[in-house]
Amino acid sequence: MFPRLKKHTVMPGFGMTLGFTLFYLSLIVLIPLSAVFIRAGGLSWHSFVDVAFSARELAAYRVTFLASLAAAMVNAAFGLVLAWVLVRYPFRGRRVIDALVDLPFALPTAVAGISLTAIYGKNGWIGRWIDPEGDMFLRFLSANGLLGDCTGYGFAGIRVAYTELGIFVAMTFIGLPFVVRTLQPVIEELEPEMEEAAATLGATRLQTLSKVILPELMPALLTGFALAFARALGEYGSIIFIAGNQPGKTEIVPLRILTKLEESNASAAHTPYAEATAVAAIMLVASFILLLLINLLQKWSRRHHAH
Amino acid sequence: MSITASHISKTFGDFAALDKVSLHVPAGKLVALLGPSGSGKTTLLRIIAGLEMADEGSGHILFGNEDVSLLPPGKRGVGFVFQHYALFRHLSVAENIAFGLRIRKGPERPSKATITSRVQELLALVQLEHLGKRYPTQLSGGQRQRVALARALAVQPKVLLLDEPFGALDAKVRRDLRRWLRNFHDGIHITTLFVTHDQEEALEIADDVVILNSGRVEQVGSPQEVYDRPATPFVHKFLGNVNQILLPWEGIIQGTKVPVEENVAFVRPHDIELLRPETAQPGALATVLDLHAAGPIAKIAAKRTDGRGIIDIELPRAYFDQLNLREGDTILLRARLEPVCQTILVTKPPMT
Repeated sequence: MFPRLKKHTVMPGFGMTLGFTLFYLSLIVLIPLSAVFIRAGGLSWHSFVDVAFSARELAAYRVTFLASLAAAMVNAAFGLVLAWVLVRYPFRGRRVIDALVDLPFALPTAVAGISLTAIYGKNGWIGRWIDPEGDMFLRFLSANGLLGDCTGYGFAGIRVAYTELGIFVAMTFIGLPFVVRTLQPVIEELEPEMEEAAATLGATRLQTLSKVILPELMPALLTGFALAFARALGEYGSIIFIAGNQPGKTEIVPLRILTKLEESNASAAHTPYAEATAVAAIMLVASFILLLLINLLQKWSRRHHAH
Repeated sequence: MSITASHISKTFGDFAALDKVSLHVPAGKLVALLGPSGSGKTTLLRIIAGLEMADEGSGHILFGNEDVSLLPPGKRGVGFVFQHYALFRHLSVAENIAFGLRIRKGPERPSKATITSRVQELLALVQLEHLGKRYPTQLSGGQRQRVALARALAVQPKVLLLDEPFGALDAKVRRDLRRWLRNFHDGIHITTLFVTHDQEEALEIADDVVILNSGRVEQVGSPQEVYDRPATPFVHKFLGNVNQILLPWEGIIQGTKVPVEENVAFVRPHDIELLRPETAQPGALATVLDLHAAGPIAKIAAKRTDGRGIIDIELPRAYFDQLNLREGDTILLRARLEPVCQTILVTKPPMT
């Protein structure tokens, strides 16, 4: 009889590393998250609903989620193009562009916010050409007799800074690297032979794209989309500069949480902290649900890729 | 339908991958395009398929009598099989095979029922009836390559082009699959051109072999022709083992016909006669260096007594046993008087 021996593994200490993992995750992730629910639970159900679903809060949820969704979609589309170009075509300056993609990762968000505001403001490089009050916009249109009111063409200009559009622009900026960086390795792995096979079988370029390339990239594209979306939902620093933060219009949820904390509502029976966590809890649950949905979608689109 | 390529050139920058190459594949034949890597064989195949364009004004590709030089790959009617299968991973085996039919538009597109029955037919043809619902990642390499073949055949191509079809498979599967391809071709008789760098593969299954080197055709012929009567020193060196014997060498006696280039003679190991020196016949003396007698063919390495190289000899096992050689023995060597195919059935070595 052989004595019972433990299977020898190269790296020892499963028990210890698992213990560490659980401890670390609890400390860094689970305890803070549960604190949100516990503090929010301090409110009565009635006041929780009052606080978390006031008109001002609802407007904030709306603008945050819609702008994040729009930004993530735009990032998915253009990130795909960018990743494709960076992988498939060798050109001069490719590495510079490749490095630039990471900039939104590395840039302090306040820097991003202030430069975006400067560019899109009515006196900024871009803003002066498109803002209704931009000097170049006015000069150009009046020179051509195209100004909205008098001609009926309705060139009213586009205001970016201090509007929902500004929020969207900032979210797009910070979400870009996620899609590009998730797609790049997958596109690198995509054999050009697959496209050639489709071509010899008679597929047009559009068919090759829609029936071969996109399905192959879909799981990665969804991952990139989810990451960009989650990042946009949580973004604070760059947005508060460009959003204008008008109550009920361009306030984002993270800002609401902060202002709730700062408001000293003396008449209320509960602390500002509890109010802030109520909003945070809603945000957390909504994000969870969205990530769950995207994960399910990913699993579904990845079903054939299992080995 | 026959394939004719005439005067095809292709340059990549300064490098001439193909230099006025002409090629003819008769209708219904299985032809191997054989050459070392970098010889331009894959480039030629891809030009025939339309995946690559030949240099401007450098000749034509004809399928039958139709000039297809300017048609895109999808309009040429080629079935192309890639070395690494290039199956669509997100589609099942059946969907992969149906791909070429499903993407057709308007009246050209067969009905769903026709497509389903055609897919079943093809699955049966490549002996994968039960695997239609699997995904490519769930198949072995040999199975994947057969799916790729079925997918290429689904659109009823005029010609079949295979690019190193067995290159990614392990040795055993490779041998099985190439025999299978030979039988398969005997059943459907579609004009087939396949690229390979493996001489054994080409000689074993092709009707004709086209040997390509540095962008030029070296020789065209049946496997036996190119093996027994190599047209150029390159073919000599490339196909099978060959001794390159520095001249002068007394082993080439008068009346022997041996291919010679500059001062090197080419003699295959099984075309060297080995005699005991006591026989006192004309020939060159050598010393046995190494004996290797596992298997039906005995291999002997002998050092020339004039010190100008080593000569490999291959003998049938029975004769070898009779000779009772030992390392260090002196032997007498000479090139066989008729170094071609009469004795080939007896002495042809397994080509490696």
